[in-house]
Amino acid sequence: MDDVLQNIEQEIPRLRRYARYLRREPDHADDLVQECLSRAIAKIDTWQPGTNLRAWLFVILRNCHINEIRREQRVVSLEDESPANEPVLSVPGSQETRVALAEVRRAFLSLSEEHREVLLLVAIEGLQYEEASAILEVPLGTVRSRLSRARQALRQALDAGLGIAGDPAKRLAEKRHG
Amino acid sequence: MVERNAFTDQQIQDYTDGRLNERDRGAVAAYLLAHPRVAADVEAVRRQSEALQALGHEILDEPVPEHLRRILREHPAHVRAEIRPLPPATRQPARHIPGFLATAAALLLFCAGGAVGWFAHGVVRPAPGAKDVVLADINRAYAFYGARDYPVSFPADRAEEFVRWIGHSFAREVRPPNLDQFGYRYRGGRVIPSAGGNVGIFQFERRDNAELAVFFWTTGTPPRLDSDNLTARLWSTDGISFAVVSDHANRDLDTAASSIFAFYGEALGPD
Repeated sequence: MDDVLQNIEQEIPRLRRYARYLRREPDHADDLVQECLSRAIAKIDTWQPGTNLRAWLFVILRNCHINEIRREQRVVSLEDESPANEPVLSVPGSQETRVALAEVRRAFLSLSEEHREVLLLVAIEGLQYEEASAILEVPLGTVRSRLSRARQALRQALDAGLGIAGDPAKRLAEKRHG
Repeated sequence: MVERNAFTDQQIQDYTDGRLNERDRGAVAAYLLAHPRVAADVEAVRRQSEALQALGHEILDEPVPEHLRRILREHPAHVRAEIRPLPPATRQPARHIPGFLATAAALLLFCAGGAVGWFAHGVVRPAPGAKDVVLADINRAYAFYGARDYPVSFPADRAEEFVRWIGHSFAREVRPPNLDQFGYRYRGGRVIPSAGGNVGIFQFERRDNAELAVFFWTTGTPPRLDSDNLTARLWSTDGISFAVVSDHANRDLDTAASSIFAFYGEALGPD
């Protein structure tokens, strides 16, 4: 039990990032993580050792988020690009890196919610398709096709926003790999 | 173009995401070597993923807020009320209180100084002098339970009426949990007074005469439990506190408490 709790504690940063994406406001995001952790403890017996703890926690986190929205009967427009409603995914690093990342971020935020979320789970968090399928409550095939379309849309968004500096993802890769 | 379609987009994507077995991976890698335009697409997707991974990365490096860590340290499985007998002078003869009422009254004799952890929305610790207050509560509780026709007692067939009554008293809806999976039947509920405010009780029983109770209250000061044979799981969330109480021999207590915890997490949730 204590080992599992330690492992859950190690996942808190990842939960906070996912929550920050879902709830945007850092305080609200941490409230969501808090709720998630409480529920995770309550149903700790349902976690199967050997399976991905992060994916299990993400399912709980997302369900908490959905319940919260239903409870408040609040409609969140993820397409709203006003600063207050933008997911808080800031861009660290050097000036050059920040510029490139800001472009990636802008392209990412221009995607639909379902495209952003599948990219977040698979491309950012590195979850397996099967795990994303469980979290998003959609069939595996839907994850595949949605991911494919999301990548295509992201590429188009990056291409559409290309400045004279060129593809920001490529610039970041060059920066990263020297 | 024929060769371009030698592998489907899905297969290429599986390759990009590392989902292929070694043999298929080798086949696709060889194909990409021979088809630089497709390879460039794969490389672009990889760069995309790398760039995306940097988004929000600083959140991962932030210190974890202490209140989040505390939830893990003070969860119900760790929260076991330390039970100790009342001083002889304050112990009431159990025969004055029939059946389950003795259990319920005993909960109010909560040992304030015990290693009782509270999690979720902050740690609650009994204030100095709480013992005297609680001892007064004990007497009041006994007085209430002693009156057989005390009106604030709702059998199971008046559950909805009780829930409405709770709504007035606690300014929120609190429903009895369904514990069918553990074999517990909801027997009824009542509200009892305490120094810090009302305490609601849902009472359950099983065919083997095992009993279990859910207590809830909205004040920061917990009722006290002091008994030779009772144990409790406690938590506090969103301005309301819960205690699931049964006797020490009850092996279902942890799982039942977890289920009840989840039930109220869904029903009440954060404000």
